[in-house]
Amino acid sequence: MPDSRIMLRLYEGLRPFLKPFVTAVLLYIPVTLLSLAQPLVIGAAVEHGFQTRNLSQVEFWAAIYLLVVILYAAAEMAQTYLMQFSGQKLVNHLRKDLFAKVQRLPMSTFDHTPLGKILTRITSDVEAVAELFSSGAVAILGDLLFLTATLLMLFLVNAKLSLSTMMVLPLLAVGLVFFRRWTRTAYMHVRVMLSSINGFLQEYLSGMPTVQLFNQVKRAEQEFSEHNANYMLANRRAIFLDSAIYSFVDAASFVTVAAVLWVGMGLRQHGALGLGVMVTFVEALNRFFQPIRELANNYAVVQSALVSGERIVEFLDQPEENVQSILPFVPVFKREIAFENVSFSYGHGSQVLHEVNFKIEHGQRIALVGHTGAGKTTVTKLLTRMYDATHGAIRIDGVDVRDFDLRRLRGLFNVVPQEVFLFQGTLRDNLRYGRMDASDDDILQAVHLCQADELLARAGGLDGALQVRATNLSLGERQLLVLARALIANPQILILDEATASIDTETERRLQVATKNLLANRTSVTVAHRLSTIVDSDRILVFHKGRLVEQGDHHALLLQNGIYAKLIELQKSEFALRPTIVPDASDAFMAAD
Amino acid sequence: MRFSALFRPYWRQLMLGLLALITTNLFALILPRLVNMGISVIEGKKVPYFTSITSIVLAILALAVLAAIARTYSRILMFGVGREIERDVRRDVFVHLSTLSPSFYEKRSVGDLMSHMTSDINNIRMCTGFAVLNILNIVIVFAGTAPVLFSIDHQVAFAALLPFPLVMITAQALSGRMFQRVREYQASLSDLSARIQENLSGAQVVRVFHQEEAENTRFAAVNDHAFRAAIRLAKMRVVMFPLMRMMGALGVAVTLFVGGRAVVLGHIDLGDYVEINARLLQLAWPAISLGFVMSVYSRGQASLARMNVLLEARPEIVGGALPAPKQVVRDSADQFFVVAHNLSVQLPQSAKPILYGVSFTVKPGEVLGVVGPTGAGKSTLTRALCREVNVARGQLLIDGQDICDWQLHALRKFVAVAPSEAFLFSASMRSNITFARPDASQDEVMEVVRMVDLTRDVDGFADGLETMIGERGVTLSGGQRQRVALARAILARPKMLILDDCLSAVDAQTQSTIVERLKQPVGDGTHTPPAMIIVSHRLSVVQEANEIVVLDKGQIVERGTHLELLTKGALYRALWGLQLLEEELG
Ligand SMILES: Nc1ncnc2c1ncn2[C@@H]1O[C@H](COP(=O)(O)OP(=O)(O)O)[C@@H](O)[C@H]1O
Ligand SMILES: Nc1ncnc2c1ncn2[C@@H]1O[C@H](COP(=O)(O)OP(=O)(O)O)[C@@H](O)[C@H]1O
Ligand SMILES: [Mg+2]
Repeated sequence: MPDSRIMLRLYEGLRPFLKPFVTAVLLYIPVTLLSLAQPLVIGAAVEHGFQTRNLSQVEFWAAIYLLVVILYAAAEMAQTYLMQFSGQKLVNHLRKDLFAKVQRLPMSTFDHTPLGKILTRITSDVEAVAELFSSGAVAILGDLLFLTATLLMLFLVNAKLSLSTMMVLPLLAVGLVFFRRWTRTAYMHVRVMLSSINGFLQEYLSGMPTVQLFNQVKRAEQEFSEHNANYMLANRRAIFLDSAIYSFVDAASFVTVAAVLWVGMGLRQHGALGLGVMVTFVEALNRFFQPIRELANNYAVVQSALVSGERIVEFLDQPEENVQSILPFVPVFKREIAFENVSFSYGHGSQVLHEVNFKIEHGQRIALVGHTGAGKTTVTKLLTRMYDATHGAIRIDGVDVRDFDLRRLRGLFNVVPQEVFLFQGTLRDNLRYGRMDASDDDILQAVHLCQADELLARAGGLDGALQVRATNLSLGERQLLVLARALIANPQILILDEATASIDTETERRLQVATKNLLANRTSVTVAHRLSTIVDSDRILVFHKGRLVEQGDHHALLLQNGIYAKLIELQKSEFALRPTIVPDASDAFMAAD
Repeated sequence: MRFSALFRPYWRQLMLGLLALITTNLFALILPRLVNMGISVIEGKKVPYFTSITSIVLAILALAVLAAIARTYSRILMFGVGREIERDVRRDVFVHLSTLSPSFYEKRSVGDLMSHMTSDINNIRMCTGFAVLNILNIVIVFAGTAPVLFSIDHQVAFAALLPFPLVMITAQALSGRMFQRVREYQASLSDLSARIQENLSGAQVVRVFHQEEAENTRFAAVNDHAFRAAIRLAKMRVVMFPLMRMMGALGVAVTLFVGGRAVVLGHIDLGDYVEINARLLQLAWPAISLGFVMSVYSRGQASLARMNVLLEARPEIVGGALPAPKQVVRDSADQFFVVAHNLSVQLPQSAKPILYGVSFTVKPGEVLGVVGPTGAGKSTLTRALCREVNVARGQLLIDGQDICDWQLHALRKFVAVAPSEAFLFSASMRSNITFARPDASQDEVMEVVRMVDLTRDVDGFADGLETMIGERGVTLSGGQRQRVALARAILARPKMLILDDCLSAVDAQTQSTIVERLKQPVGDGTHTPPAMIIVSHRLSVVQEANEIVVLDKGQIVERGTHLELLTKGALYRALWGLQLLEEELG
């Protein structure tokens, strides 16, 4: 990615705060002038005070000097502040963009991207860009200005001699371009290593109790040490290059001076050069190289900011969830949802769903049944467009789901996923997550329906706090809360993916009775292993290895005497006193193969 | 953790770096002299040592190269030390974190910890490499310049240097507040990181509830807070940097006043004044960089203080001194008892004990079934057994020895747990299964895969056992995830195996099959199977257990075998009836 593109993107981020930034850059002018004025004032003091032995003149110029210094400090303060301000604004803006981007990423991103890597983009990489401003590396802008002016001046003073100076420039340029190649890869390597160290850390810190339980702390430490050492080695290489560049530029400045002396001697022997010019040149060269030295000094900051910038831009350029739609209105669901020849595979993996066809009519209660891994959850993910079907189409009242506005489409549904996730924070905020304007009464009512009043009281009421991942509740309790959360959101279509798997039979029974009315006229899709919970569904879809093998209501399926009938039979036999030969559940499925 | 301790292992490198730094500075002093000589030669004057401009030019070139080498070397050494210290700190913190108990991780967001591991460590590193290099540089320059000034004129030198202590005092005065603001800023970064982490972990929930916009707003709150903290911190620097610079310039002003007076009064001559001034300007740059160094230093200190808070966290659960008892470890001696005696568990954050008065006994080859309503304390019981939570009262004895006296790793070798929501790593299926025993043979792996009924799933994956699993196992179905976790626990070859409702996403029949397989003798049929504790909501799974305990509200309310409980256990019978009835209904 060319630097110009990264710069352009950063600049875009800066544009809303262009005024403070430009002001800050413009303030370089008074700052430079006031700093140039200082030797002049001293010169004046020497001339008018010292040499004429005039004490009051000395005092006068000393006062002037003081004034210049104060003005200078004031200008610098204003300049530093504005610079910091625009820098922080840029950071704030970038973070906001990156975070918003994360919200638009497709679910599949999270299948293969470690969270720690995404976290690194929004935190560390943004901070590396911010370094540009806080380290004063942006001052390079001022330096470059100064550099051009000096070059121009030298050229005007003596063209020939200045050419000998400029001879070094190509050398310098070639050198820097040469170095840039290396430093770029070096810094890229550093960022990649940092990213993987963070990926490792975030995962292992999340799973530390597991690591401890399986006695693998030593191994984890070793693995971490490897990441850690690799990161350090990557940094060392960067440091080497960085130091080399700085010294290279420093050496180049003296080589130039040597060249000026050498050429100057020749010119002088031909009588073509005054001594004054010579001294001016040597003086000016020092000033000329100062900004270049600064540049070299900040090279690391700039390079690493550019590399981080590149990674940020790359991240922002990732494909997003396909939200654009030709139908910007809220999808209507009055008649039916249809799966038409839907096939699906996750990424490059093997096919998970094979030509699935079924319909969900408005108001129906649908159940999905099948061995774990059969593809039931996948069906629910396709319904809510967490993923798009690879082949075939899903239509709501005849319209392809891909034509709807994604957010609005999802507004139709609510899913109680198999994986319970609650946010850190109060119970209230968690419970009304889907409908932030829900009143406490609404919440309490749903909690009551979900048999969770006692639990709520124990957890400290609506203001009670949940720990990280709600670990202060038992898994079953968490499932009850998640269920309540879905009811509060009050969706048109409710999807329950093994929503009661960790809840005991009695609570579940009460739950069913309590929510019966609530679910009566609502379209719902239930995935369950306990067949008892789904026998009175309007339609039962039996999945096996990604294929829809049977469908119909309970009685129809029993009559078919296929897989479903076997499942029911098996489940019953579980409750007879166990015979010596254990029935193998897979038998039922074997028969289907 | 203290800075001095961090530096200790690297003092040799630092000394070398210092030497290289001094050399560089020496060269930097000589080079301008050579240039001056060059000009004199061009002027036609005679200079010592050199006769022609060519030799001077060559000398300049040679010295430039030497200086470049010395400078490169000094920077590599100094900055390198910073990186090495960074590595050490990161390692030490990780090692420390790995000793902390689960309760720590329940309270601290990983995002917050990550912020410590990135931003704070970065600050600490800057403070070791960059700050040290600059401080040394300043000291060297001052040490070289001050004596020269005093040799010219005491009074003027004194006046000229007067602002510098003032600089130090101001810096000192500001540093307390600076420290405070850095801490605030770092804390705000921690919040930011924690928020992002939560959002990433809950990505699916966010999408399901289409709360993307609301999440953006929530993030904006912490983001803006971080911005304000950054600006408050920046304001300190805005004052500090120019102030430092001004102090240097003040020296020049004072010299102009005092020195000018001295010149006028004839105490010193003009040449002296010019030299004093020139030397002061040499000091100005280090004085300016001092501001930057101060800021880097405050950052380092504040971050180190934050890190120390982490490092002060003590593990809540500590192991004893005893290695596992011989009888237990020996493979052939399979007779031992796991005895819980009047066990109570109370967590600091809950008022009532979660578990109390629980007693039971299990032996190898036996199964203890644990059933009871949601929130009864079943998981807490299993957590107490592997010491994830502390026992408040009562005892857990294995072969007569209190498990609190065991070394933690001995206990954890002894027991393995398969929870219903297991943490899987983003690695291949195989490395997840062999997590506890990376050296397990292919046959062993295939055997456990068969035991947990995963063979057909594995065959279905394009890459078989080498299939990569997403973070936390997101690319597996619920039942697959649970069975991988179970396989992992079985392969650990524990003497006691705990299944905490770990097959809830698998159908009841498969679950029973798997449990039945676990009860068979292991290996070549000579080893007794482990003592097992099975927690389940499906009574059918535990009906053949040697003993079943019914937990309710933290207490054992009924106990016995399935048949006994059916006759005398009211709660159990009711539950059984319910489950039976439900299936009959079906
Ligand atoms: N994000 C994913 N990436 C790759 N494969 C996946 C992903 N999610 C599920 N799978 C695979 O798809 C198959 C079906 O999974 P799923 O729909 O969750 O089954 P279930 O019927 O148990 O709900 C499984 O073999 C699973 O491993
Ligand atoms: N870390 C914790 N802090 C506070 N309370 C907890 C914690 N862990 C569990 N609890 C509470 O202890 C009770 C028992 O939890 P648990 O043992 O997980 O129940 P279960 O029988 O469903 O496995 C629950 O009411 C739960 O809210
Ligand atoms: Mg599923």
